[in-house]
Formats: sequence, C-alpha cells, structure tokens
Amino acid sequence: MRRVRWMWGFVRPVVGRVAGSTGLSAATFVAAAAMMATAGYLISAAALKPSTILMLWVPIVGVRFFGTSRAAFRYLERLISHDTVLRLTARLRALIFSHLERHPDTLIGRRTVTTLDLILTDMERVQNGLLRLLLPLGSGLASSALVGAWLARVDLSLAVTFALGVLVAGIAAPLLALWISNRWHSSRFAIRQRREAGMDDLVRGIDELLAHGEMDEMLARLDSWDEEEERLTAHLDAVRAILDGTLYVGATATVAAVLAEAIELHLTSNLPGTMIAAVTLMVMAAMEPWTTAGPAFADAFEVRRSVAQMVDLAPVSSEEVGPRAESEGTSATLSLALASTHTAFSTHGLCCRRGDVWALRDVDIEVPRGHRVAIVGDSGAGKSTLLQVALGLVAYDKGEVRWFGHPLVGWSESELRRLVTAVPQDTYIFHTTLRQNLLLARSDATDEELMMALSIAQLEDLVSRLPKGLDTVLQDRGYSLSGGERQRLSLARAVLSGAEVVLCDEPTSSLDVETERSFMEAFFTALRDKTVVWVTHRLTGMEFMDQIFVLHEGRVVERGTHRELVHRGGIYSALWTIQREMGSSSFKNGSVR
Amino acid sequence: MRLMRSISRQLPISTPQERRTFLLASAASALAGLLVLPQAWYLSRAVRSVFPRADGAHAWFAALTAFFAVIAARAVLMAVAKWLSQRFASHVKRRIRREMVEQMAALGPVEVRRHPAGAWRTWLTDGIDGMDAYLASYLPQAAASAAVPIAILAFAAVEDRLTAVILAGTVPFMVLLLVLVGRAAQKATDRRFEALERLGGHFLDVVRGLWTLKVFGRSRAQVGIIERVADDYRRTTMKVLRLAFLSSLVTELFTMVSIGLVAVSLGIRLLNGRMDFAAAFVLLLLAPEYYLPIRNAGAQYHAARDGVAMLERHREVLETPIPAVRQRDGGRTPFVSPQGVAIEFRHVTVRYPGAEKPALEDVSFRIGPRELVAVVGPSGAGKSTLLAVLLGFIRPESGEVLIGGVPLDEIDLGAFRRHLGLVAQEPTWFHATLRDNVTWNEPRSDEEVREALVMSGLDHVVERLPAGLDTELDGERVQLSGGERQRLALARLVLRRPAVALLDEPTRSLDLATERALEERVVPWLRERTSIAVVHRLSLALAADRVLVLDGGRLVEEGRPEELLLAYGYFHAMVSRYRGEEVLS
Repeated sequence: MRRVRWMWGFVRPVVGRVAGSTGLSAATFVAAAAMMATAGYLISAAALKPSTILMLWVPIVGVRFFGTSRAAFRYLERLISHDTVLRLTARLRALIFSHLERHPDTLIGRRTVTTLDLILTDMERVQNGLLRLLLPLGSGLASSALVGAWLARVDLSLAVTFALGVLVAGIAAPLLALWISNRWHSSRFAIRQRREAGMDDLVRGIDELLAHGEMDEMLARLDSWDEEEERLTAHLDAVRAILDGTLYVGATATVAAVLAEAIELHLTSNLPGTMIAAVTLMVMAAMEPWTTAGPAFADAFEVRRSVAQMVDLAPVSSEEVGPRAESEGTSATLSLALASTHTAFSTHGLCCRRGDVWALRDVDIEVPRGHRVAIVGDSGAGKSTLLQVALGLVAYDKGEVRWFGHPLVGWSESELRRLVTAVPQDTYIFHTTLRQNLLLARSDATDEELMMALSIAQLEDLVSRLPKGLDTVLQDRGYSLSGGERQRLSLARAVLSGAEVVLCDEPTSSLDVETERSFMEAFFTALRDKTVVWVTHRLTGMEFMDQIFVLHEGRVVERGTHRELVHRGGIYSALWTIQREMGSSSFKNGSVR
Repeated sequence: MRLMRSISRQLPISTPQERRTFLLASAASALAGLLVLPQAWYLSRAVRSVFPRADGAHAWFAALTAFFAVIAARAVLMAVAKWLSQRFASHVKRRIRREMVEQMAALGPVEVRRHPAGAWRTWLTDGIDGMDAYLASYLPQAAASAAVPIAILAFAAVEDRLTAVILAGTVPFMVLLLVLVGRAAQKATDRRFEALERLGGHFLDVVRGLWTLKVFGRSRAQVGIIERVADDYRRTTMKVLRLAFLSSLVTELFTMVSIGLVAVSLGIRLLNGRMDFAAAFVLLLLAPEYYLPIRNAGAQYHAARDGVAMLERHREVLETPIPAVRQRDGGRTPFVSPQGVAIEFRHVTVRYPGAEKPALEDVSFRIGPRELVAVVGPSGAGKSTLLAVLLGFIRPESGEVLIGGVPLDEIDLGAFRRHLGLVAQEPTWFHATLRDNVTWNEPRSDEEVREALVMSGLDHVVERLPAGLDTELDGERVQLSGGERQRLALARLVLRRPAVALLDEPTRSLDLATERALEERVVPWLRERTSIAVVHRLSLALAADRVLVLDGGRLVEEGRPEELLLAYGYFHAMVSRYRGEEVLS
C-alpha cells in the first residue's frame, strides 16, 4: 500500500500524459485490428463478385485509412510515452535527491559505491516498469474493450468468447506464471546479490586474494554462485517458455474459437459470409497486445523490488535534519545577534546515538569567535559525529547545539552555510572543471579571486600544470589530483567561501608527513583571522590552539591549552608522550629492546 | 551492414555445447516461424469451406482441427525455441563472466586498477546481464527473420505472381528508407543515449558529493539544477526523437500501404473472378508476417548494439597483455622455513604499461630470514612497486628477483604465496563474518583467534560490534574505519603466521596510541620472519633492522637506521623533518 501511494505521488503530475499515451497505444492496436478486418471484409466482398467496383470503394478507403492512422498513432504514442518517461526521470531524480538533501544521514549507511550505483538501476527499472508494464496493460485493456464492443454488435456470443480468451491468455496465464516463478525470482535475487557482493570483494580485494593464494577459492565460490544462478534461471526460463507457448495457443485458439462460432452463426443464423474473415482477422490483431505484454510480467518482480528500494530510500514524509530551508528569523535580527555574541559555537548536554552506541554523551563545548579550538581523541571517540552534528548533517538525540547563540534548528540553511564551512577528511572532487569545483564555494567569485584562493592554498603550481588551467576537467577520465592537492583544493574552497568558521575533520590524515606539514602551514596562514575547529587524533600543531578538548568514548574528559594539558598528566599528556617517543629513536632503544 | 558483418564475425560461440544449443534454438524458432504458412493455410481453408459457398457439411470442422494441430505444434516449437535460446544465453553469459573474472585474476591488480572499480562491477553484472536481449532473442531469431519472409515470398510466387511482385518490390524501398533515414536518426539517438548516461553520472556525482554541497549551502539549489538539467535533456532529446521516430513512421506507413496494396489488388482480381478466395485470404494473412522483421529492425538494433558492445569489452579484456607473473604448474619450489627466506633483487627495473619513466630503476638488495626491513621514501618513490614486484603483480622489465635462490618467474607462485602475508595499503573487508575475514575461512581455535585479535588491537573493535566475531561485514550496517580495516588486516597476518610478511603503510590510519601499542607488539613478531614494511611514519623505520631509502625509483641509501642517521644523507634529513614537527609544537 505504501508503495502504491508512493508510485501515485510520483506519477500524479504526469498522469494526463500517461493516460494519453495509453490511449494512443490502444488506438494503434485498434487501428491495426480495424485495418485487418476491413481487408478481410474487402476480399470477402470481392469474392461475392458485386456488380460494380464502387461496392468495394468504402473498404478500400478503409484499409488505407486504418493503415495510415495506425502508423500516425504509433508515432504520436512513441513521442508522448518517451516524453513522459523523460519527465518522470527528471522528477524521480529531483525527488530522490531532494529527500537525500534533507536527510543526508540516509547516506551514511550507503556510502559504498555499489549501493549508490544501484540507485540508478532502480530508478531505471521504476521508469521501465511504467513503460513496459502499466502502459501495455492499459492499452491492451482499452483496445480489447473497443474490439469487444464491436464484436458484441455483430453478435454477443463472439464478444463473450473473445473476452474469455483475453481473460485467460492475456491476464490469467501471465499472473499464474508470475505467481509460480515468484519463489525462484526471490532466490535468484538473493543469489545475485551474493554474487555481486563477491564480485565487489574480488575487485576491491584483488591484491590480498592473489597475494594469499586465495584467488582460486574465490573464483570457485563465484562459479558456484553462477551455477546456482543458472539452475534457478533454468526454472524461470522453463516458466517463460511455457508461458510463451501458452500465450500463443491461447491467442490463436481464441481466434479459432471466434472463427468456429462465426461459421456456426453463418450456417445457422444470418451472419453474412463477408463478416467471417473480417471477424477472424479483427480478433487476430486484437490479441497482439496480449502476446507481447504477457512476457513483460516476468519483469514485474524486479520492478516491484526496485520500487520498494526507492520507497525505502525516499519515503514520502519524514522529519528534516539540520537547519531549515528558510528560517523564521529575518536577516536583520540575525545580524544583530551576530554583532553581540562572542560565542561562535556551543553545545550543552549533547547526546547522539549511532546505531546502538552512544557516540556522544553529555558533551559541553564552547568555541569563542576568532579562536582556534582542537578536538582531540582516538578513533571512535565521537569526533566526527560531533562535527557532523555541528554541520547539521546528522540528527542528535538530546541536548542543545547553538551557532552564534541561536539554536541550530532555528537557522536557515543559507545563512548558516555563509558563516560556517568545513574541510573534510576526504575532499570530494566533482567531475567537472577546476573552476566549477571552486565556484561551488562562492558562485560569484571572479577569476582573480579564484587565483587568489588557489595561491593561498599553495595550488598555483597545479593550475599552471593543468593542460587547460582552470577549465581542466578533474577526476574520472579527466585529471586526477594527489592527496595533498585534494586537501588544498578543499582549503581553497574554504578560503573562497569567506565563512567565519572553518570546521576541519582530520584534513591531514591521508597525507604523508611532509605533505601534512606544508598543508598545515598553508592552512594556518590562510585562515589567520578565522574561527577554526580542528578535529584530529594526531597532536600536530597543538601549540597554535587556544583551547583543546579531549574526547574519549563520547565524553569530554579534558580541556585546556596544550601547555596545561601536557602538565595535567591525563590522557592528553599520555598521547603527547607517545608521540614524542615515536618520533625519536629512543623508542627502538628503550621500550622495544 | 557493417553491424551485420561485425556480428557474424563475433558470434559468441566457443564450445560445442553452445553451438549445439544455438543451432537447435535457431532451427526451432525458424521452424516455428515457417509454420505460419500452414497455420494461415488451414485458417483460410476453414473460412473457404463455408464462404463464398458452403462446401461439405463439416469440411470447416476438419480444417479447424488441422489448424489446431498446427498451432499446437507451433506452440511447442515456440516454447522449445524460447527455452533453448534462454539456455544458450545463460551458458554464454556464464562463460563470459567466468572468462573475464579469470582474466582479472591473471592480470592482477596493476592492470585491474587501471579501470575504476565501479566499471568492473558494472561490466560483470549489468553489462553481462544486459546481453540477454541480444543472446536470447536477436541471435537465435536471426535465422527465422530471414527464413520466414523468403518462404512467404516463395509461397506467393507459386500462388499469385502479382502479390509476390508487390512483396518483393517493396522491400528494397524499405531497406533504402531504413538505411537513409534510419542511420542518421539512429546515430542521433545513440548520441542522446550517451548523453543520458552522462546525466546518470552527473546525478551520482552530486549524490556522492552531497556533503560537500551541503557544507557550502549549494545542495538545495541542486534539486532545481537536477530537474532543470534533466528537463533540458528531455527537450533536446524530444527534438531528436521527433526526427528519429520519423524513420519508423515511414517504415510503418510503408508496411501498411504495402499490405493495403496487396489487399486491394487481391480484391480487384477476386472481383474479376481471376482469383480463388482461399488463396487471396492466405496471402492477406501472410502479408503482415512478411514485413514483421523489417518493422522490428529498430528495436533489435539496440539489443544488438548493447550485446556487441559487451562482447567487444570482453574481447578487449581477454586480449589485454598480462603484466603480472604468470601462474605456472610444476614450477620450482624454494625451501621456505618458518623463519623466512632469502629475497634478492638483482638490478631490477620496472616500468608500468604505458609509463615513460620506470617506477623502479636498477634496484638491488638482499633480505634474509628473521629480518625486518623498512622501505622509506617520498610518495612516488616506488615503495609500493617494490612490494608489487615481490608479489608477482608486475614482471620486471629487466633484472631478476630470487626467492631462496629461485628466480620469481620460474617459481610455483601458488606454493610461494602460501608462505606470504600481506597488509595492503587499503586493506579489504570481505562480505563474510568477521571471523572468516580474519581466518580466510580456515578452521582456527578460538584461542588462536583471540591472540591475533589482541596482538592487532582488533579486540577493542570486536567488543563494540553487536555480534562480536560473528558479525557479518556488509559495508552498510557495519562499517569499519580505515584504522579498523588496518587492524583487521594485521590480525589476518598474525593468524596466518607467514614466513614472509609484507606490509604497505600498516599504521597509516591508526591513531597514535593504537599505533604505539601495536608497534610494541608487532615489531618483535615481524623480526621473527622475513618482513618488509613500507612506512611513511618513521617510527617503524627506526625500529627496523635495516632501512631501504628509495627516491625516484632508485635505491639511494641502505643500512641500519642508526648508521644511516649518522651518515647525514636522505634518511637523516627525513628523520629531522619528522622530528621537526615536534620542535614546532
């Protein structure tokens, strides 16, 4: 029911077009049937050798008219149905994206490339389902109804036979086939998913599989899944083959039954002989949509599955995460608040759950404007969650989060993003030009401003090295950047955005020592007068920090300046000792040997 | 035409079984197609027996019985043809998948990584499954689409010359139309479909980069952009389609006009009494069947295009030269003791396919059993390549690698790899339970597993997981961070107890405390075998027995770390920079 509602909500705006193309498709079938019937009538009437050819004039014109109109209907139908599908494509993408946009945390469980790629496949199936299932079904029903009505005018019994044929061959047989094959479809779906996971393992883990001599076993496993899939497919193929044969027999037997009935009517009552061929040919053409639509039911399983996926990914209604699209507060009151507040960011009693684990417990943090604050902790301490909550990317369970004294949910998205930006752990580079990759931070930046930001981020060399400078397409088949370059690009974006606060999520964790050093120098020079929140597990550059918060298992356990914390003798000073030792050869001489 | 030729050249048949299935499927579908002739014949006989004059009392009943016999036979043949075609497609798809996967294994990571992982996954799943239309319909029905029109034409030639002339005469026009209008339109449509794929790419790009867009407040605008871009695409595509569909409109019109022509000419001759009604009715029934293959040409073009494209990809992959050392049966097996084995590089130069500069140049060194060697150097120095050579992932251009005195390319790789353990730079989790991930599906006692977990520091991670060691890793509900994956790989290594341990930046994503604790436990363990560790944080290098310093593919320094520190060369400079950090803070 949820799925039906979802589909309806999704199709509603184009429902007129869907109906239109269904109607045209039905008209195509009717025209074909009418043409064949007229042609049958034509030769029958001719066989009776009427006194003048004028008697045949009407059927001759009829044959031509229906022939041409069929082609025209078909042309229009194809145009409208393609247009409809493309409209639905646009709608579905916008729908899915706007949902993800409002609930970016939906993506957390789906960060793997595989699942993201599947979104496209699912979207395609949903559209195709409309085009290949609903449309033929609708047009088959409509055209059969018209043909049946005409048959009923000739003789009711003919219409009844035809209706029975449609019911059995067109509807009952495919549904039965679908019902029988359902079980095999779901087992095959499961095995295909397993195999896809295996392929994923193979592609990602090829080094380790080869290096450990495990490749043969992996290949054997893949092959056994293939074998299982082939076995299940054989069952499904058998159902399909029998369905094809049945549909054909059903359709042709309907033709034969109608013919036998017409002959009986001709012999016993007064059905004119000219109608025998006409009726037969009409029914023959009218069965065509059913023999072609039936097999499409075989895909119904996958379409249903994909619709379910879409519904899961973007349910119709759900609560929003983070700041609102538009706020109630006006810019004027905000700027007033900005002028008077000294605190950039604060949390009070913040609790946040990730899965079954409390990632943050009672976290109180205050970041004064213009200060540099570090949040330190080992992996799993909740550092990244804290940043995501601060950015409004994930929901939190309890407590308060404020930006410039205003609660996070009271902010409008655009206002908050203008004031706060971030440099992530892994910079995402869009598959477009370097210029566009920068402009997303501020769309109205001039070329000079772009170059300025790049030079602050020490990326001038890159631009001169790129074949087309700012207009070089990055990533994929374009130019790819090194780890250091990616992070600097992120820095350039942050500089360009002009935001007052920059949040950094271990921006140097994927860099080697040398690159890390030069990146940090560039970073702190570029963002001299900004408020910086720097999340890290490495105690590099901590002396630059005005305040350091130490997170451990989701709680703030220590706070203070570098000097204070080192002398306090807690977790921080232990970390500090380790880092000092690891950088020196005393490690080798002292603790290991 | 070019398409036809390229299809015939690469009919995807390679085993006798596939050939047999294919031929049988083609024969059954051609036969089923040809049965349309008797089907039409008996149908017309049934009508003819009562019209224009009634013949015998139940002649029409006999004709209908025969008609039923024909459609029964035809239905069985259709089902058989369908079944065999699907079997054929299934076999070919499975074979292609297997061949591609096996080739991937032979090519090794160096070549496989040249394509993005997503591309491989798409080829192996959707790409191959997308061949269905081509393998199960297009190919097996090719024989029928040729045979049926020819048979109908021959039948018409016998029954009624004029109809045969009309049928034969219209085909060249239609083919001409298809070629003239169709080709240009088809090309335009193909381009639109490519644009559609790019559009899909754009959508995924935006979804992947959602957080970035969000952070810069650009995401909301993207909703409109996505819709607008897709809508623009729709408008331009519809312009193209209006033209492209004209070609099918023209074929359709032409078919209909031709059938009408046949009907009218038959009618006129019936009127003049120069024609038998039964014959006229049969021909009228057969005329649409005659034109069917041409009308279907458009739809089949796409099926063929996708199928041929995938076959092309398959061939390209199979023909890719293999950069890795080949697996050989009956290779030599060097003696490897649990303490390790002597590994020697002699003037090894390595160049990646298509690269100008060698990744390693004239590198020579020797490592013995019970020795931990650290490889250091700036990124791009060839550190990981050194491991790749040793793993047999890439054959050196010149020089030799000796394992226990046996050259690597004469070695039984499978046997050698049983002694290897690797911690890759980006360790992989596999879709399996955490226990299977650590043990490589081998039976290990809980005691052993726990020991390995403690040693690698994975025990803390396991404690946090809902089902502990039996948690299924799926990349969605349970996600391991980079550091956790590294600990997983270390646990795998420890449990395997290899004679030769290779580690590529094993502590890269670990936090300091974990790294420190780990090194204390793992370094002595590494010293008990032949170990090579590529490192970028120098603490592990300082704890190693020996250090190799690479720069620009050359081995620039080699020696014990404390010697190198006193030599004031590359290593000394690196260490001072590394320590400089602490001076700074």
